[in-house]
Parts: sequence; C-alpha cells; structure tokens
Amino acid sequence: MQDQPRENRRSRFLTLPAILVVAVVTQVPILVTLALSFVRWIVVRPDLGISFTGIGNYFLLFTDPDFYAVVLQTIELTLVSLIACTILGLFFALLLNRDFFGVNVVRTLIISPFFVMDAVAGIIWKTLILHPSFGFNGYIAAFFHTKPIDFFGAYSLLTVILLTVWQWTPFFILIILAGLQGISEEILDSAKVDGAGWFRTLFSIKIPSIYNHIEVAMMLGTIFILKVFGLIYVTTSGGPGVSSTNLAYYVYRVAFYGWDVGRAAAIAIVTAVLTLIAIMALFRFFQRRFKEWEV
Amino acid sequence: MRKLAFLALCLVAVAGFVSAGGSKESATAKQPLVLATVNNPDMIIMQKYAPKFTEKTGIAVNFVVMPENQLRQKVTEDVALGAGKFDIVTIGTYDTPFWGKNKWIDPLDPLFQKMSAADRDAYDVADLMPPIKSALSFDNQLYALPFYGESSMLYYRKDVMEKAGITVPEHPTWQQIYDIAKKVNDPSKDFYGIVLRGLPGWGENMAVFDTMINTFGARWYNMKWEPQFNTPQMRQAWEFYKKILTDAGEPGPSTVGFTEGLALMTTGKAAMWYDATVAAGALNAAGSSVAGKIGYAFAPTVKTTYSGWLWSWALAIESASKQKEAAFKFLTWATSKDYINLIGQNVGWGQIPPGTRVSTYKNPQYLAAAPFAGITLQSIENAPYDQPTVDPVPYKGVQYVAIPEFQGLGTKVSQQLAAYLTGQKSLDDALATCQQDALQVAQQGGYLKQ
Repeated sequence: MQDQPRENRRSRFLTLPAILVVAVVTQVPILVTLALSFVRWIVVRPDLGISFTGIGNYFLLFTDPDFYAVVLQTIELTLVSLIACTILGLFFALLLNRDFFGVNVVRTLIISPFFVMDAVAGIIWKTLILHPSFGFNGYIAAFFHTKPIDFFGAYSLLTVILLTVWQWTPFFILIILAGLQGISEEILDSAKVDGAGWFRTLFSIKIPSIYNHIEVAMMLGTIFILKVFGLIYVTTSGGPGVSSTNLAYYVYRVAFYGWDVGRAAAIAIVTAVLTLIAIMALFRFFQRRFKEWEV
Repeated sequence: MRKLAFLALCLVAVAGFVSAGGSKESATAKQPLVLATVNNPDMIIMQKYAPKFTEKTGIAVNFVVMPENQLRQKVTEDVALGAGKFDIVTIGTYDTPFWGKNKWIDPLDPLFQKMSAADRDAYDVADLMPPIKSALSFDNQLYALPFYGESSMLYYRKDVMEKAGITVPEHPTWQQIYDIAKKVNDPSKDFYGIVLRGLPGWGENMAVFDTMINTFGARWYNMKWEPQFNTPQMRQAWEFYKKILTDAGEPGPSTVGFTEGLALMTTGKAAMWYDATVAAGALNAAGSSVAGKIGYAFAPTVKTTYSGWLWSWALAIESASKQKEAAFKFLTWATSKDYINLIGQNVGWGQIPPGTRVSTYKNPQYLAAAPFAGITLQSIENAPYDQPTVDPVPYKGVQYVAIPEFQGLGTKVSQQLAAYLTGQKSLDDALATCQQDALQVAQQGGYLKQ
C-alpha cells in the first residue's frame, strides 16, 4: 500500500519526456507565433529592424477588406466540400458495400485519389486536364468550336472546391464503408423480414448505426479541409485577386510574398482561434444529435 | 547505479549528436555546390552542360530548378533567414542591389582580385554589357554575374502576316498591335492574335504590363511617393490590357506565364507574342514548329520612344555559403566567353545565353544565326532603366519598382490585374485596392514624403 504513491510519482516522472516533447512541438510554436504577432518585422527590410507594435498587426488585419473575403471563402470552401464529401462518401460507400465481381479493384480505384500528393494532383488537374490551351479542356472546347472554360480564372474557388472534394471523398468513403461493414447482417435481415424497403433500411438502420463513423469523418474532414494548402498553391496561387485564397494560404501569402512576419503571425493566431471555434461548434452539434439518436 | 547508467546513456547520446554535427561541418568542402535556378530554357541547357564544369574542376553541382515565382520565395527565404541551403542563387537585376546592401550575397570584386591575371583576362569583366553590369552592382561593386540579359520585344509569325497582307512595323504602337491581333485572331481554329502573360506574379504578368503602364504615361508613384493608381493614364493601360486579351488574346490568360506563352508560340497557336528577348533562341530551336517563321519588332509603345524592359538572370554567391571559392569558379565558368562558345558549338549559336557580353554582338557566327541580335542589343541599350516613365519618378526599374517591398506589392497588384482580367473584380475595385496597397507600402517603408 505504501508503495502506491511512490509508484504514481515514478509513473508521472516517466511520462514527463512525452509531455515535454508534446509541449515543445505544439505549444512552443503557438507561443512564438503569438509573440511574433505583436512585432513589426519585414524580412526584406532588415534596416527597419524588429520592433514591438502592440496590436498594430491585428488592427491592420481587421481593417483589411481582403481578410473578411478570405474568412468567408474559407467557410465556403470548408462547408461546401464537407457536405459534398459526406454525401458522395455515403453514396459510394453504399455502392461499394456490396458483393460484385472485382469489388476490391473498384474500391482501390475509387480510393486512389486520396493517396495522390496534393501538389501532384494539383499539377495534373491544372496542366493536363483543366488548362484552357494544353489540357483536355482546350481539346474539348476546340472539338465543339467553343471557348474553353476558364476554370482557374472566372471559377477559381469552385475549381478548388471540386478538386478538394475529388481528393477528400475517398477518405469519407473509407470511414463510412468501415462503419457499414460493421452492421450486423442479422439486423438487416430482420429489417427485411419486417418489410422495410431500401430507403427505410438506410434511414432507420444503416445511417443511425454508422452515425459515429460519419461524425468522425466530418470532424477529421473539417480539420483537414480547413487547412487545404497544396492544391491552392499549385493551381490558383489563391487568385485571381484573393478569390480562391483560404486562411491557411493567406498566412503563407503575407509571410512569403509580403515578407511581413508580424502580420502573418497575427493571421495565423486568428486562424487558430477560428478553427478551434468551428471544431468545438461541430463537436457540440454532433454530441447533441448523437444524444437525440440514442433517445 | 541505474541513475549512473542513465547519465552515461545521455552523455553518449549528446556526444553522438555533437559528433554528427561536427562531421557535417567538416564534410561541407566535399559536398556538391547547390544552385537554385529558374526553369527557363537557357538554365536547362546550363544544367545539361554542368558536368563539363565538374570534369574540368572536380566540383559537382546540384541544380534545384523551380518556376520563377517559387524560386523567388525559396531563395529570399534562404538568404534572409541565413539558412545557407544554396551556395549559388539565380537572382535578377531587381534583387541584386538591395541583397548586396543587406549583405545577403557577397561582393565579387575581392574574388576577382584573388584570380590569376591570366584567368581574369580570360574572363574579361570589361566585356560585360554596361547597362546590365550597372544594374547588377551596388555601391560600385559587382554582386552578381549575368547569365543572360534581356529586354522585351514583339515576336510575330511572318507567314501569317504575309498571308493576311500585313506589315508589322519595326517600332509598332500598341494600337497597331491591337488592330493586327484582332485581324488575325481565329479562336475557332484554336489560333490567337496575341499571347500576353496573365499569370499573377510581379515577374510574370506585371513584367509585361509594367512596360505598358510606363508607355501609357502612368506610373506607380509620383516624386512624393504618393500612389498613382487613380490617374486616367493608369486606367487606360488597365482597360487596354483587358481589351486586347479579350478581343484577340489566348483563353484563360491567368494561367499563362513565360513558359506557357513560349509553348503557345512554339506550337503555332498564336500570331504574336510580346515577351522577353531571350525567347528568340527557343522559338527558333530544333523542336519549335515555328522555327524560321518568326519576325521581330521592338516593344510596342504609346507615349515613349522605347518601352522594353531591362532584366538579367544572374548568378550570385550566398553570404551563408561555406564554399564560396568553388561557387565563384562556377560563376565565372557559366558566365564566361568559353561557356558561350561551348553552347554555340554544341547546341547552336541561336541558343547561346544572350545579352551579357559586348563580344557576343560582334561574333559573326552569332550574328548569322540570330537575326534578332540587333533588336535585342538596341533594346537593352535603350531600356529606360533610370527614367522608365513619361513623368519623373523616385524609383528605378522598368518592369518593377526597385524597392524591397515590391516583391509583395507587385504580387498583390498582379493578382488584382488577374482578378480584373477574369471578371472577378471591377476596374474601380481593383484600382482602389492597388492604390490602398501602394499607399500602405509607401507609409510602412518610410518612403512617403509629407
């Protein structure tokens, strides 16, 4: 009995390195970013030095109309992609949750976009498929004697959303399919015996059974889609103007085009706060819905 | 005992890290040079022939080749934060003076003094073209060696013009170019009157558009550093750029930079292209479907006599490099007369890196292979680098404003231009945003005079 507290102390001591590593990796960068958000530091002007500017960077940020446009676009990009990925994910998962010849090959092919790197996917879509002069887009337009669609100009945000959905839907399929395969055959058989049709089974048995999986997919999807960067970087560079810029890319643009470290840090802090709020709101929504389903 | 063993383990680990760090330091002299460069055809040729340098000196060179926009970010990041990832960087006339001022790159004069007299004579610094040499200097010291130099000019398809019964003037105006482009434009056959850069980036669409701003009588700032995006001349230039691209330009211009423009022209999809003089070699290279069919004219103008830009992609040594002498050897090899001869003899005289040496324009083999040589030389010599605009300005640079903040400001304005071209923004909104951004730069950078 006497050894218990000593044992606890030792356990705590042994977990200390892990806690330290996690703290260094996650908290220190946030603290450094927070500190940098209060300084004026323009990398290409070392003669101006680094000076404390108080809330100057935040003031500049909140008076910048581009910032509000970028916040709105980030919400638009995340919400539309999330909804589309969930619907498509559920649809394809239901299709793939059947036994047919070559099901494994089809599953692999459908899931493959998820394993292609952002930059590679972006370049292929940009140059080989959607480019108005060198891509299929140009060939199709020439075939029909029309003007090719300017995907990366007039429809830049929509194009980024389409590519995000193309890339992230397989992730949703994987998780939802795992959920569907976990549903007991007996329950489905008894639903059939009770005379439940396809729609009734879907909405009364399948979806409630995989609600946890959908929740996990949407939570993780939100986190990943909020910080989409590679696709934007290689396809539209956030433009034209800021029309396809999200908050993650905006930080990069201010930091590595304008070389304004303080302002980029301020945007990063605001982004982190907004992301936390979004995730918490989503989490609470799911908790409430989950309780309703349980009742 | 356990504590002792733990301590010993820690010491071993620390010693391991220290020795690993130490061995890295000592190994640097044997490491290959790392060169960051842009993916232009002349640099690709340099990469192909770099093994000749290794054969001669035993120094290996690793190339990191990137598109123009990425190169600028990566290299600025590397020098400004002192990372020293690259030994040699490819920079331009814009970056060199203030990079030298910031001590991010090393002056080359001391390294030239260390050279043997024979090597120095063979290199012949005096042979470098004076406007380019001056643009690559700061405080009367040379900080980068020009790999190639360029201005801008108009390329046109002689066969297409002949068929349409059009004569392109040697010194055309923008209005004449618009009329010609509209006449030969045939989008139903995937053939366009003119190709102009629309890809956002201060070195992409702004390079072309800035020459237009200047010749239309507009300017970025007046002598008090007050932004001038609200002037009628600026408005005319923006309207004209959109008009010519909409009525006779390539589709989806916001995806077309130098590389894409060159591809459109070499695949025979356009009648005219206004871009860098250095592209003349690539247009006439073996793989080009328009080789021998290209005509040349000076950069189109409106209110100025010449409007072509002045640029040089040059090689500089990062101050953080640990292999400066080896790097200098590469610099003097890649920008030498011998290198030009090597490329002339092996690739073709039309494909040598132009615009750097006076002797190039006296070389009969080059003059025979390069019908564009005269226009290139005159364009470089007459590029209005010190006074680019109709009205006086407090800055230098034709296709840029030579201040460090221009990299950010130019990119923002280039994005506004793309937004206007693609219909994402109205002209009023785009110009108001540019005016605001330019004002912020003038205020924050301490340029604005009350």
